[in-house]
Amino acid sequence: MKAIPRLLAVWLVLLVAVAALRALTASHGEMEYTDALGTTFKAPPYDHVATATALALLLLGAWLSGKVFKILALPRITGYIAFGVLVGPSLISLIAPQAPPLLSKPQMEHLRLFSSLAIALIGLTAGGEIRIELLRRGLWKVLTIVAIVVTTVLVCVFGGLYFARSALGFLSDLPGTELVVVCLMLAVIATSNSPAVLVALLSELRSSGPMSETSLAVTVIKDLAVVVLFTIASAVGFSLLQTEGGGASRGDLVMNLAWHLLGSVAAGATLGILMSTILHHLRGHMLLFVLAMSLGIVLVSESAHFEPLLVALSAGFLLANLWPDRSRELFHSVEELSLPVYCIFFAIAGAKIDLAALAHLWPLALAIVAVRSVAVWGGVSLGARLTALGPPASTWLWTAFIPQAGIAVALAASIENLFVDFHWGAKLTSLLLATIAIFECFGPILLRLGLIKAGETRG
Amino acid sequence: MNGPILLHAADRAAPLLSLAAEGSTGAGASALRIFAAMVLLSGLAILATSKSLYRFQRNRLMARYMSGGWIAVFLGFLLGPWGANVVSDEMLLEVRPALMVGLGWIGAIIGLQARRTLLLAVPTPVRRWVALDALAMFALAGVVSALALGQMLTASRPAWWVAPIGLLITACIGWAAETRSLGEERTAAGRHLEVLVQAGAGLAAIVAVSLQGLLLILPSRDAQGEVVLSLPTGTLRLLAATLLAVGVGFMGRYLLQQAGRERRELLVIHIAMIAIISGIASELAVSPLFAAMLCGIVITNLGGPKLREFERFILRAEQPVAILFALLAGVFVDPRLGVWGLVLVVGLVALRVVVKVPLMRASLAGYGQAIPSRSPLFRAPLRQSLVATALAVSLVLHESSILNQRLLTVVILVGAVSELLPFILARLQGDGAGVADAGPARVREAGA
Repeated sequence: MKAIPRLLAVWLVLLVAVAALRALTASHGEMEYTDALGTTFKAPPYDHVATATALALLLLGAWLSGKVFKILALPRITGYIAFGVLVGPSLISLIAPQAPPLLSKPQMEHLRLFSSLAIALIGLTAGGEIRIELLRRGLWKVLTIVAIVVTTVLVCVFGGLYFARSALGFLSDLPGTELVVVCLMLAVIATSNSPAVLVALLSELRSSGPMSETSLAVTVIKDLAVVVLFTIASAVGFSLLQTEGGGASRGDLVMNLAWHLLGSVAAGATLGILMSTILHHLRGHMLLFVLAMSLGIVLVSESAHFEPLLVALSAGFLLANLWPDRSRELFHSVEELSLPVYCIFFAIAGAKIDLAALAHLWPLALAIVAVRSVAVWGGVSLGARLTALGPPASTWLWTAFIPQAGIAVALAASIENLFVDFHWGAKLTSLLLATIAIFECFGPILLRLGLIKAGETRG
Repeated sequence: MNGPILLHAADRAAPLLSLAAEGSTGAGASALRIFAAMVLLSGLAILATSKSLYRFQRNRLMARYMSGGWIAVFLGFLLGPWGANVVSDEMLLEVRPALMVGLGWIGAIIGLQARRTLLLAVPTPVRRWVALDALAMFALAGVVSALALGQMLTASRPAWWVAPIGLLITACIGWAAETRSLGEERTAAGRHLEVLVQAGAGLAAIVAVSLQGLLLILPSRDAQGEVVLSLPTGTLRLLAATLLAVGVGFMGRYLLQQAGRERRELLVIHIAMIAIISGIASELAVSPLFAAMLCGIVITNLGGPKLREFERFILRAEQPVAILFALLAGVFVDPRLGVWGLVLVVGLVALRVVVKVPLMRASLAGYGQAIPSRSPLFRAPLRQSLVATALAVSLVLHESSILNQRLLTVVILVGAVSELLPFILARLQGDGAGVADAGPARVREAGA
């Protein structure tokens, strides 16, 4: 507690220094200059030049916030997210619309590399944590919990929204078919939870035990299920709305899903073998190797439209289970590298939270939060009972599936693009982002509590 | 597989499912190219530092070029726009913020050498040697550069000339720190001379980076895009850079104490310190190389176990960072030098041959201890310092103009040719020096 004032003082100095810098240096777009040869060249816009400072701001600011939050017995990642909210464009636009934000949207775009890196590192970590023995021993248990949780959340959120529509803002104005599609999409996204938050918190608290193992395995499988469900729901939605492309065959759908999921696993396995071969010859510079391979995972995933998390997860799983000795140092470096990357990743996630949408849609968002939370609790409790998962893990496991972040945000953002012809597309995205923002802020606190109560933490 | 619904739903949804793919198709393609470039360059940097590559360095000429970073420069050139165009200079400029942080890293490495106790231990003749070298290069390389650039440049106002001439002068200051490949010294006096050469190289690197830093803060662009010289602005920038370096040094010391012993937390602070100094320096139009060097000087003189850990962390990445910047230099090379560009290269190489060795002999002549008069180490100052490559890349990142890319090419060519000079002179003089085996020590020193 004694350290808090000093940490906050450094934190304040950092914020004031960057704010002063932003105020003193003239913001400009891309400029065209002439050199002494008489040839012209382009000077980068201010936002591009200022990205290195933004990187330092996020790293130090988020880290300091995480330290303060830890002293206050709160999860560090909530501190990272809170710092992102503070320096992001959303808060300043509400308070002082004319003032430049400490972290602008273009700067966040330039820092996208770190978000991608974070996904790859999270995937590698999660893959490295899942052992073949665990799957052999408890795969049916994991699948049962996934099936029950997903079904419960789908049914409850869909049903809750559909039947309470008259009291829920813009939903009450929608015609029947469109209402079904909106409720369906909301319900599908409600089934997702955040592997990033889970992996980061497990790492932060050095958690191990039945709850940690089960939650990680369920999250991984659920992540795949969400991708499948979202694609099916989008197709069903288009069919119901009879928009362009409504007549696609089931075969096409299956083929595309197979490409997306099996392709990701195959690419991950290939990269895992490649990494193992390089590891055999590599001496030193492990951090650089991990960075290069994480970039490689992102590159392969983006170019082939694979799921980066799944690619990294497959590579990590293969390395940890087939070459445990060879990959030990690699996972050590992944863990070492994860903190700086998480600081940036979660701070950017916080900076992206749309506070204006939250302020506008909070009653509806709170209703969805309540329904989803109850559904997750109910589904997990039922699943735990059916699979004979004992207490205290069975009592607190549900807290692992409350946080939402990256994947849910990406799915929510894609809805606006997918249903671009409908006036409710943008509203639906805003509503989802508002809901996710609530889960993003309070989910980690709940999960931390759950892990502590389950007695699985050492950190 | 490409049914309409999938075009509509899956093809539009799939990239969005990937968290990273948020941009438009054009932006996505550009991002892919950047990712590819970064993977390739990082992979090559790792490969260049792998044990397997040490075997190739048994060949003496190969050793000289590989450990000096010249093979990496050549590889960068082959990958760059004048080669296979796998990595374009535009792509690298897209990741300029990350490269600025890399420059800051090199600056910190140079600054960390300037511990007060070490500087005081440098004998006076070596300090005199470095001072004379800097003065001679300032005058002579300045004249040679001005004469050649006079034929190349269209701008006549002095403000436009400061940065180009500044680069050519500072690239000429100093010499490569590595000595082993010049010939193994078996006597105590010879080994002492080695130390003097290395100490001088370290000191000269600090002088070169300082001089370029000071020269780059004077010119700036006005509202019309004209280059103007402003002493008040320059002074303010210098003051800001110094304050920043001191501030980051002290802040870093406090934060490192707060981080405890956990390596992950130390990593956050280490990266953040380099990023903040490089970032703010870039925004203030101060060279990150210079600002980070100042910060390195502050940190190394503040001392303490935590800051020593920071030093070790920075120095651990020395080799891959050096290789990465050599690759970058290769990508930025623009071979369209023209006749006067080649004249400039020849002139600067000739200057090294004519001035550097006599200057070394004259400076060390009054040295109290015995120095072997016919040592091959007297050819050490012929070779260009590796810091020159970083200085040239720094100028390109500062302003990515064709002129700066051509100046970088001049620096690279002078460096590559001067690398051969001790070898050629040894052959001409028939003493076999300059052809000794270059072991891993040479590679380690490559990053200095």
